[in-house]
Amino acid sequence: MNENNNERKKIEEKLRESEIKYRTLFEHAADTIFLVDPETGELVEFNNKAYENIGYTRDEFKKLKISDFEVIETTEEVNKHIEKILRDGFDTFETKHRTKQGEIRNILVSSTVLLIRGKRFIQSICRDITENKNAEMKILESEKRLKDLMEAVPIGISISNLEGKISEVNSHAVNLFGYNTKEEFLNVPAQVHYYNPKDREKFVNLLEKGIVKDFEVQFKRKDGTMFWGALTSVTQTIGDKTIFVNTFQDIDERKKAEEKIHYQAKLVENVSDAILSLDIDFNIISWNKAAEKIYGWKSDEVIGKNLSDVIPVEFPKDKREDVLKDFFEKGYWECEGIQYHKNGKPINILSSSTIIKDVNGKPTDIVTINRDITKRKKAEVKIIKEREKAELYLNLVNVILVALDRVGIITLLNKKGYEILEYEEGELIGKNWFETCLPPHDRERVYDYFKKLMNGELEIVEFYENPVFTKNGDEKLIAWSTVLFKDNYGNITGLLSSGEDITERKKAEKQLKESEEKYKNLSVELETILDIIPGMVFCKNKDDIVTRVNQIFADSLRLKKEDIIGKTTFDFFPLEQAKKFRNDDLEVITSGKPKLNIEESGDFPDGKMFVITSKVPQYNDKGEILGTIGLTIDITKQKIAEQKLRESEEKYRNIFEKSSNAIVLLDFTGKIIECNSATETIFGYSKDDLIGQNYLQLPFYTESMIKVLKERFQAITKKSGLKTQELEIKKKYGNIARIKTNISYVKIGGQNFFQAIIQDITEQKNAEEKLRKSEEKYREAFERAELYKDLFAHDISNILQNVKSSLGLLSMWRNNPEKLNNIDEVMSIINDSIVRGSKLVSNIRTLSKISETGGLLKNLELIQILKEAIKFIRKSFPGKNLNIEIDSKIDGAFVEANELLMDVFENILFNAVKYNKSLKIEIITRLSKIVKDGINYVKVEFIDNGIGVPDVMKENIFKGRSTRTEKAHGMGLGLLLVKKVIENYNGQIWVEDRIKEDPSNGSNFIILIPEAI
Amino acid sequence: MLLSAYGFKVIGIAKNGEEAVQMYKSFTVKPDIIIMDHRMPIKNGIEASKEILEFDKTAKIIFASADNTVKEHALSIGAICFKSKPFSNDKLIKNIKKALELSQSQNV
Repeated sequence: MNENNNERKKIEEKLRESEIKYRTLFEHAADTIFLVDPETGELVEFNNKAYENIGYTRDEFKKLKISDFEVIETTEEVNKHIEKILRDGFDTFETKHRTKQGEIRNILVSSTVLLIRGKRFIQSICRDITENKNAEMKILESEKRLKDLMEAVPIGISISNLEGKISEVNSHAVNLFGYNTKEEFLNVPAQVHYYNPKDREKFVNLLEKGIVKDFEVQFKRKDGTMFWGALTSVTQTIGDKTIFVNTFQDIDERKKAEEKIHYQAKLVENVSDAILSLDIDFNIISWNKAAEKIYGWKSDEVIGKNLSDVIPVEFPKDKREDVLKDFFEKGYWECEGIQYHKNGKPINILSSSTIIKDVNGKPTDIVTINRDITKRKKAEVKIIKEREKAELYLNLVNVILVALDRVGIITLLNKKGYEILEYEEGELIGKNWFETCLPPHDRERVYDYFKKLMNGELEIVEFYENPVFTKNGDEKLIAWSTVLFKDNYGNITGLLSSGEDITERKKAEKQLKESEEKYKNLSVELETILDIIPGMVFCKNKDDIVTRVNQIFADSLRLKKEDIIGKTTFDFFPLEQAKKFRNDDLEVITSGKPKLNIEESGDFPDGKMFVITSKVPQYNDKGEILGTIGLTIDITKQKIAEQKLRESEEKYRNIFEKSSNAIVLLDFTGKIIECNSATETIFGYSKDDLIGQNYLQLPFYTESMIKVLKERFQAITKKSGLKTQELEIKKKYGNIARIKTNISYVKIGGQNFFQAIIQDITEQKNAEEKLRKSEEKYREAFERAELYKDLFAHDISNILQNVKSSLGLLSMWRNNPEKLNNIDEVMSIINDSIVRGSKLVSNIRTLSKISETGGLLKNLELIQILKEAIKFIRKSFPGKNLNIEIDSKIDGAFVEANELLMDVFENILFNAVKYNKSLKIEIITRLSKIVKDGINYVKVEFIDNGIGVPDVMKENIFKGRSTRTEKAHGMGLGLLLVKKVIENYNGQIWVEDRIKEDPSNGSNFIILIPEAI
Repeated sequence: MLLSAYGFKVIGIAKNGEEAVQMYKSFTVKPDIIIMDHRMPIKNGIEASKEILEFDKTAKIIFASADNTVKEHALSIGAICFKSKPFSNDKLIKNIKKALELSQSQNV
């Protein structure tokens, strides 16, 4: 317990001590310290300095809030600031507080968030920095004034250290060195600003000895150009650092002037020009040593003499008067001329004369300076020649030559350069190479390289390729080679580049590469193409060595390609053939002309081949003949086909020509293209008459036939089926022929034609007609024979039947006296049957006679024959009561007939008696002449009073067999015979009723027989 | 004359086949026998026989012709016999009598 009490007391003691310590620090701190309740903004605790520093009493201050003395922040801003401190935990910032007296104080505030008994408070320590601020302002003002001063002075000022790091510079120095900004200048070490790097070392050495004053040195501008400057430097040590305060003065003009003065002075010291002074009339006043040396005249020899007397001037180009006039007008004169040495030797002089005037402007003297330029002239001539030579070389070389100075300005460009860049000669001198002659996209890269090259930062690349940009906007690729120009100090002053325009070469290389690639493909393609060419392809050189063949060639020799290539024609073919092939090759090689379509034959492994070969010369790219290229086509099959065709043609030509049929080939207009010999025979026209004529316009055919033929041609064109047609034509000399035509559609050599095959069928037709007539005749004869046979058989059978029946009756009645009377009647029947049989036989004979002879006709007197016939009938029917009269209206009737006319009359009269049941048989024969259808006939009518002919029988009464009439029955072939005989006379016969429309009351048989002429 | 000589009565003679048919049809008392020639105008013996037999199938026709080729045809259509010319009187009479006997036996 005691230990715990002691421990707690110790802790409490320590706390008390700590509180006292911090309370003392709090109360006696030099800075204001206050504690702010962030919720209310009230000051809950503060030290004495808090109210003392801003002129308040404790009580007054206690009532204030921060915003009451805060100047910069408004109440709202103060509250936001409190929130920020609460969020971040602390903040340090500057602000301003207002004292009770209204004075504004600069305050640096450091605020921290404290947690006291679970509540957050902000403790702020405020230091019054007003005095510090004032001092700072004064320093800034001082610095500004210094800088203003640095800027104001017309000299360059910089501050640098020993290592060359420049920490300060004024604008003048920046401008002097050609930089754009101070920052740019400050980034460049001091050593870079020296044109000669050794001068920097010299300067540092001098500076180590103390102040460097007016150290004249060559500086280098940013663009690399040099200028003279006077450098004054003071060393200052600040702390442990040493700095150089430098001033620069541009003394470039002065140095140049000094150099000039120096040069002039040196010139004067070493003057080699003759210096003369003359009065206004050109009398010599003074004559220097150089004049003595140049002209050989001593001073005392020429003083007072007129210049023209001593050293007259020859003006090669101008007249003396014009020169003097110009001189006095302008006041000076300068020219080159020729004067003479005392010894007479000509001297080239460069003369410069000036008129010296007094204060009033009046000419008083003339000063003439004459320089002996004889050597220079000679040198000039030589130089000109050399330059011309050099220019010639420059311009002759096929490369661009360009010289650039350090900044890239073109100082030289040869003719080729202008040509490549497409500018007029001289147009580019003075222009920036990079801006003018490089393509925009490449300028920066090349210029960077160039700058580094000029600054010695890069080693030169011996060969490289860069594009140029022409005036016309094209890019060309140049292969460059560059050397650097250096001055005596080793400084790079520019470069000279020579370049070759390799644009075309590159293109060509590219094309070549592409071409090679293409050629590789082409070669494969060519090989393939060659292999599929339907012929033997071969290439041979001048020495007959085969260099290439296609697969067909190899196959035809039954070899591989590689076994053929490299060998000669003589390795594959018999000697004589090889010689022939070789001679053709040599002809092509020698003449340079192709030899085409050589028809030849060769012995190949497969046998003899007929081929057609074409050979052409093979050239190289220089146009030289390398050998021959040949193509051989196998025409063996074609040859065989041709032979067959020839044979076939010959065969068919023979058939064509020997054919008994006319064969006519027509085009579609009907024009005769070809015809054979038979055509001439059939139509009676020669080939010359026919070929070229229109088939349808030849006088073979009638209009109607032509129409038919045209329709047939049209039908053929439509490929309709056609039949052979028979026509009748009139031949050339009028005789008629019958032809059979067969027109067809033929294709010959790809062309369509009509082919007419015409057969002369005149004889055939005649024969056919004869045959037809013969057949008809024999058919008629056969029918007639059949008829006669039938009739004869029938009629004879009936006659025999009558006889047989009669004999049977006679036999039955011979012993019967009652029947004796009937015997006569039966005998009469037998007798009648015999007569009928006789007549039948007679008729058959007559008919046969007509058929055999055709009946030869003669002029006969008809009436007499008629009378004979009547007489015969009367004798034939003695028991009949007959009245037969002739009623003739003509005296004589001569007709074309024969002896059968008697049979005709007898037959008709016989029937008229036989088929008449009248007790008195009346027959009138009436004769007359008539004309019918232009023919004169004798008309004979037999008018009887018999049983008549029914109408149904009138038409058929003269026909045989089944249509035989009753009248014909019993007398056999009577009326059939009559009709045949009359028709043989070209006459006519028919039957009418004796009384019109009464067929049962007699008939009238009418006969017309042509009257004899 | 022949038939009359043998005691037969001829009741009609036709000039042709057509007339024969018409005549037969017109008879009220039909003949016992018809002797039919073949070759006749207008209508031949075959045609006339056909029509008569169609009209009266009991008609007795003796066909007579010199043309033996029609014999089969004539018998097939109903002719009772065929006589080939020239034939004897006796044979004809014999055939007529036979036909009459046949006709009488049919009527019984």
